[in-house]
Amino acid sequence: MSTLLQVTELSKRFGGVYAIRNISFSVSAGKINGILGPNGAGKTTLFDLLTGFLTPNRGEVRLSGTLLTGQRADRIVNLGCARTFQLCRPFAGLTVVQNVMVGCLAPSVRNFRTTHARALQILEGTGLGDKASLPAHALSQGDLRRLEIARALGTKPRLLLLDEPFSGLSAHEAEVLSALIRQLNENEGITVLMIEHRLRDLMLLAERLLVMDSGEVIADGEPEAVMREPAVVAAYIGAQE
Amino acid sequence: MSRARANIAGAIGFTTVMVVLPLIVRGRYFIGVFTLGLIYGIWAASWDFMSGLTGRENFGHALFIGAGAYTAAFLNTVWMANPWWSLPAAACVAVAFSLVVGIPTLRLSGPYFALATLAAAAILQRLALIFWERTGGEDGLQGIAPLLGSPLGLYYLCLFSLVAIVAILLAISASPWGLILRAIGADELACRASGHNTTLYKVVAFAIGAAPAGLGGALYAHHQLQAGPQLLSVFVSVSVITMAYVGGIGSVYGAAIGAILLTFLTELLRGAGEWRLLVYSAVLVLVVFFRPHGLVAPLWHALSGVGE
Repeated sequence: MSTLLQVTELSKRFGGVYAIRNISFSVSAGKINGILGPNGAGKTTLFDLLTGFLTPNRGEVRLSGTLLTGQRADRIVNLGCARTFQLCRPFAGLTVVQNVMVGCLAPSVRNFRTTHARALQILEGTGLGDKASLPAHALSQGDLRRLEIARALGTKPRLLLLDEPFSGLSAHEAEVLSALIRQLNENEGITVLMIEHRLRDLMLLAERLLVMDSGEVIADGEPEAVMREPAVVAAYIGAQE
Repeated sequence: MSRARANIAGAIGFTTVMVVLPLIVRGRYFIGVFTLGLIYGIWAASWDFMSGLTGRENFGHALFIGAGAYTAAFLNTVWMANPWWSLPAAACVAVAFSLVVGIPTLRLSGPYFALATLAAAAILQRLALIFWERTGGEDGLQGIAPLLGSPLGLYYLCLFSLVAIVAILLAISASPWGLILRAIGADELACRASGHNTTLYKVVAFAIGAAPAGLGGALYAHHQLQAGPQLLSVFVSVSVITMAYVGGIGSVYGAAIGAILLTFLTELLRGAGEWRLLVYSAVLVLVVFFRPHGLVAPLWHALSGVGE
């Protein structure tokens, strides 16, 4: 399977503190990948580096061979790498369909004549079709998470970065979202890289797991195998005496 | 009646009222006040287009207003150009100023843009005083020729300009372009994460808003037959912002109508002299406190939605 994302020796320092230290990994096209790690492990900083919201001190990121490092955040989205945020960030004054239209109007994919129809189509696919004309701020937490994904889908991403998509969701909402992520991966061929704290949901979805601690990758591989590694057990449960 | 039809009916109704107003309330003084209201309407609508939609507040709209007025004054009194050249030239000069201020500051987050606009207007005002031999100093440039022979003619020219400018700005704000500007106002970071170069959008919106402000400055100069440094003052910028807030931020038409209403109020308070500033501030505080979305636009929104 071809490599979609290649991260090489990536480092990010804030003052004298390393948030990300010399991270290297790759993501194969068409897979669902999980990132796990305790608070402060550097997971969101990694997403910010991948999507151009932060500039690394060292290292580089490539998407299908194209250098992303040093590019503006909006340019990276137009190259096919979209993201959602840990805290939902809907465009509060806009309706649900208008939120998705903003994504559909990204320069690399926009078609002014079909923007509205495409946004409605995406909303149907994400289960928000009947809420298209509601104001975005009226949605529940579960619907807001789906709206964020729908907005990202508007940009036609090849790689979708989801930052704690299950955070704050009920068991039922998490189930619905899981099904959506799997459907996007299987039917649309979108590669997913997701940060998640809810281990159960992550283990059910991810085909590969990357575990981070203190800005470094401490384990990388198949989820079951990774969770048995001593370094992961130590980071999560504590080292054995 | 659908909301769209109600909006068209409302626009026709407003224009009709403004067309007949000087025919009912006659007199040179009243026509002068109405003309001033329309010019303030142009300034408030142009401010609201950029700052209301994107949420990046411009505290130096007087920069474009003053630049437009001085452009008209220089063209007419120094270079003896036909007064009609003032209007496009003033708009172009204001756009040039907007690019000089906007390009370096609109890429930054935080208060830099607001401070830069405030400082830019203050600097231009100071320059107008320093180079008094050319600018006329405190008195400004006098003896600008009128655009039209009669005050009523200028009133209708200002009304036409206001209606055209508001229509154009509303058309842009209702377009996909305007949707992106609203998205920037709601959450700029999320807008960038949706693939949009938000700095470019803000700079272009700033320039689009500057053009009518400059044109309004030229209309003002030809109305008052002079252009002085008071047009570059913080008071003018704050007045315009107050008008936009009272009208309804982000609506464009609300800002224009708010400006007209507040201009009339100001004239009613003329006897209060410098206390007018206090009244302005009080109105702004009360509106922000009790009606944070303004008065005109929310009221019209509620009325036009009746029956839907």
